[in-house]
Amino acid sequence: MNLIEFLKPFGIKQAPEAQIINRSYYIATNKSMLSKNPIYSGECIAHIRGPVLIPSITFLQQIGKAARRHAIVNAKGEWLFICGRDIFGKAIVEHNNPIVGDRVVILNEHKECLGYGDMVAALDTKRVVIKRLFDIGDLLRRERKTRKVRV
Amino acid sequence: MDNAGKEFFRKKYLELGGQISETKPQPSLRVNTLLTSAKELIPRLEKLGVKLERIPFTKNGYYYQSKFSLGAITECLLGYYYLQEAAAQLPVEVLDPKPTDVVLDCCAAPGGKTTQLAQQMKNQGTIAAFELKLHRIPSLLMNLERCGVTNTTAFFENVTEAKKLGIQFDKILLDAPCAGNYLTEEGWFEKRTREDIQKSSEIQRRLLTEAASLLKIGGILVYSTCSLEPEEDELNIQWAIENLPVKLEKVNLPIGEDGLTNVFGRKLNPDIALCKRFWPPKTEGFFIAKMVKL
Repeated sequence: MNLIEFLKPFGIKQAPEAQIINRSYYIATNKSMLSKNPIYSGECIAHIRGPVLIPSITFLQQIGKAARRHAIVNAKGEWLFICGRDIFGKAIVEHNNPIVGDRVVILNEHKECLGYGDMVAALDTKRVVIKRLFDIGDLLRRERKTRKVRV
Repeated sequence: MDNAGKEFFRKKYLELGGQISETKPQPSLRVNTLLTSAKELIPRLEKLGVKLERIPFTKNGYYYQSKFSLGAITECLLGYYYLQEAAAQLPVEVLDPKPTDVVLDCCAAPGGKTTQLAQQMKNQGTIAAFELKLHRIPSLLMNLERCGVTNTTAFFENVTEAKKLGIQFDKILLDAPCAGNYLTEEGWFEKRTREDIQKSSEIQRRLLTEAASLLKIGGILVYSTCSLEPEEDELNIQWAIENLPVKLEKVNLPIGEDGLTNVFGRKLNPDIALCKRFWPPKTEGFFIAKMVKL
């Protein structure tokens, strides 16, 4: 999957021109140091994880602003979501009418993007309505997983 | 064992004018002004029930008290702050990097000071960050990403490889790997011996030599450790000013004690008093030296 394919379901048509370093995408890299085998340079925007991409935290905020569909969740929904849970209908306090099948960015009440998922049921139902695909808690889980592997 | 254990270190510290404190310093955080401001963040954390108090001797530091971990909430994941001990916030403030500087961070992981360098440089200028230990790389990358750092290029290599960049740096931060101190690690007294500290000191001298060679004339080198052992602190600095083209400058901070100039009966260069040594519990154990290249 490339950046354009990754952004398409959000309704974003343009992708930044990025450089791949160590299975991650970067923009604004330090050109003079790129030939010296860095592991990070400039602004990290996404990581290649198997067949998919996951965004960096800062790039996620840009996606959150540009995405076609969003849902704003309450504090409890926010906490559960960043712990890796799906979104229940009752946690949503505001939305812009996504329909089943839409890729939806999840915002908190400060309008910060917490991640995204796919809408799987009508928002007024009591069951899971947005299936989580990525949330910012992934950052910690990623680090912990690496620590476990080391042990 | 007569070269390890709590009693060994207690006697050692007494001889140096310090003592073992049973009180831990208050936990603290640094507001990441690359992504937010204290004006926005502090009321938000207070609303969650976190008690915060400005650390008077840092630019962006706050002591905190919280009933829940501040390491996994939204504000942390979004990079609005970095959990960083008060004394650990000082080396970068002493180095005082400017947005036009080219800076080397010699032992960068987990990235607390690298992200602070970027913050102080307003994400401008250039930072080259080196880290040798593979298991520390994920934390470094995670923190650079989380804190929105964009002026840094990081390398998974020993800083001895920094010469390949062909740069003479304006400023260098050498926050050296060290034996640590008893407040940061459970069972520290039982785990450390005189030999460990000696080994650590030898590595630090090699790093100091490397850092001095990568610094431009008139450039600034800040050396810091979170160790209370003079072998890793004052004695290394004595060695540096005797063997490297550097001279000491005053570490201008309102806290901390002057560097020791008499260590176990050995008289050191009086300039070493320009360094700062921090005995717990006001902060964790720490040492900072500032040098300029001749």
